[in-house]
Amino acid sequence: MRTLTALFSLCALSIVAGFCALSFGRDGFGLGENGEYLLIRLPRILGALAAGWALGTAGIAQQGLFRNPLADPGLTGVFGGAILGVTLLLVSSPDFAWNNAWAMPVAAALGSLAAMVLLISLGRHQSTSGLLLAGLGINALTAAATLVMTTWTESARSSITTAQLGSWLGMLTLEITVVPAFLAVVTGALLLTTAKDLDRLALGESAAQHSGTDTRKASLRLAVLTALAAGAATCLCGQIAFIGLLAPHLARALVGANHRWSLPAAGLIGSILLLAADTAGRTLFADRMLPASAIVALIGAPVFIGLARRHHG
Amino acid sequence: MANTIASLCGTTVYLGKHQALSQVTLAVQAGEVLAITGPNGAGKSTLLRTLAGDFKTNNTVRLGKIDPACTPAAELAQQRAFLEQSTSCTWNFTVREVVALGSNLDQAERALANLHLGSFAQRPLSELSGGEQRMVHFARCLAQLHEPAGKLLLLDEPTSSLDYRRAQLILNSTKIFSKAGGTVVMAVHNLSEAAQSDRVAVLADGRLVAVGKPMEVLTPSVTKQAWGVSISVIRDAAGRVTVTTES
Repeated sequence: MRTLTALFSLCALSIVAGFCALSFGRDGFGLGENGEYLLIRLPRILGALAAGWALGTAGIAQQGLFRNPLADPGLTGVFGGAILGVTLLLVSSPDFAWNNAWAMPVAAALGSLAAMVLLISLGRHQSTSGLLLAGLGINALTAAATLVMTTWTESARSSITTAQLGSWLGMLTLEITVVPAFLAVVTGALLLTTAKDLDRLALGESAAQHSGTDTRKASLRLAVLTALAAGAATCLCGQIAFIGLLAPHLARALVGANHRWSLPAAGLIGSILLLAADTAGRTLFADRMLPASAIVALIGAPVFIGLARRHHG
Repeated sequence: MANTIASLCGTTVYLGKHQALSQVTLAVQAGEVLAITGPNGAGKSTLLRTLAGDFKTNNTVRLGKIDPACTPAAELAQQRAFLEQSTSCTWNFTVREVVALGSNLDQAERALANLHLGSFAQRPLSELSGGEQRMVHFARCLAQLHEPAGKLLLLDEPTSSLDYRRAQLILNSTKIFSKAGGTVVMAVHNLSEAAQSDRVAVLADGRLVAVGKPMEVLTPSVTKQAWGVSISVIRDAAGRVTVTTES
């Protein structure tokens, strides 16, 4: 009952946060004289909610897959792969990228999938730490490749730098939001179906297999879904690593470790956190916008340190 | 044989380049408790894992009519449960959640009650002692095979790290499980525990040295061959077992 109440409260909170975000702007409360702010704010609000949902669910799924509370798409190289995929597209076919709403989500998803495949092939026989170190290496590699490409191609540099700073929410229009938001929501929802497998994987691969989970198939499904979710989120907000790390910890503190509850809770917390951070970033100062990634880190880091000390200290 | 639940027929298993099991032939019958014993590194755990379906064995292992290594995990989990030598849990699940991982909450509650762990149900697993956690994982295996008839329960050193009362509770539970038509194969080091089972198989260097009734197998000559030490296992009229090592 407590977990259900918590989940309903999170749902209600995300709806309230959505309406607040829709109403608040630098000029104060309201949607403008003719509701002109609606079309400006709606895409980034939908984008933040969808991306936060995807990041929260992908984060807790990766932590479950690698059985490590520090795993998240940022740490395992998946974000780097997504950004590299988008960079490749923007560098090779910029017109095609901006004229087709599905092109960037597909490029990001392919990039994050490639990073995930590389991660699994490098870390197949490694310990969890080895796998995470492989992820760090992939992150460095993709960041370097992205830097090289944007150095040589000036036209893509601004967009990619904005993505790496986690500031893409401000660039969203309704047209370019729909496809990645749909992908983010659907992949996040599909991750909810992996709850039982994630629970069993907590016992280790061998015990999970003996309990009835095909660990190879489950790992593959989790890897693909988290890569797709992270890719979709990257297209919406750029690289915001902290949500995938923080939301799972807050979810477990709120509803317990059982993934049946903690998966949706992490998704909802991710949505609320990212939307709150984006709203704060665009309304706190009248003359400038702070990127959502900075706000998330500023709010999240102390909370995360506190949680980490309580749970792992 | 009609009552054979699991069998190995000339099974050889390699772990890397090391031959962990060598030409092992063994059949386990429905309703029996078989203890596997032998020195460290004899292949006891490998034998259990082979029966659990962890290794491809060229179709030399059968679990009922199926080859466990080629059976989908979900289907296999209905037929056998495996208590591994050690199991850790990454997240802070409650005891009831852990026991329910192989079944559902109703079966979990029942298994916990049978092992007198009902009061632990809501407690986080991480707050329990090592022995208590071992009992919880044993309960998880029992819940997984909640209808024992025709099922195989594999236990790898189930009583290690347990106090005498809990060790005896596990041994009694295996007898209840076998009386309900289930089969138990367990690896044990304690020969007085092995002597309580229906049959004993002794392994050494991956080979089956002897298999049969405990008092027929646990003889000084067999133990000398397996452990390099002559051990006497004596059961008195009251069923009490005494194990003495001859220097």
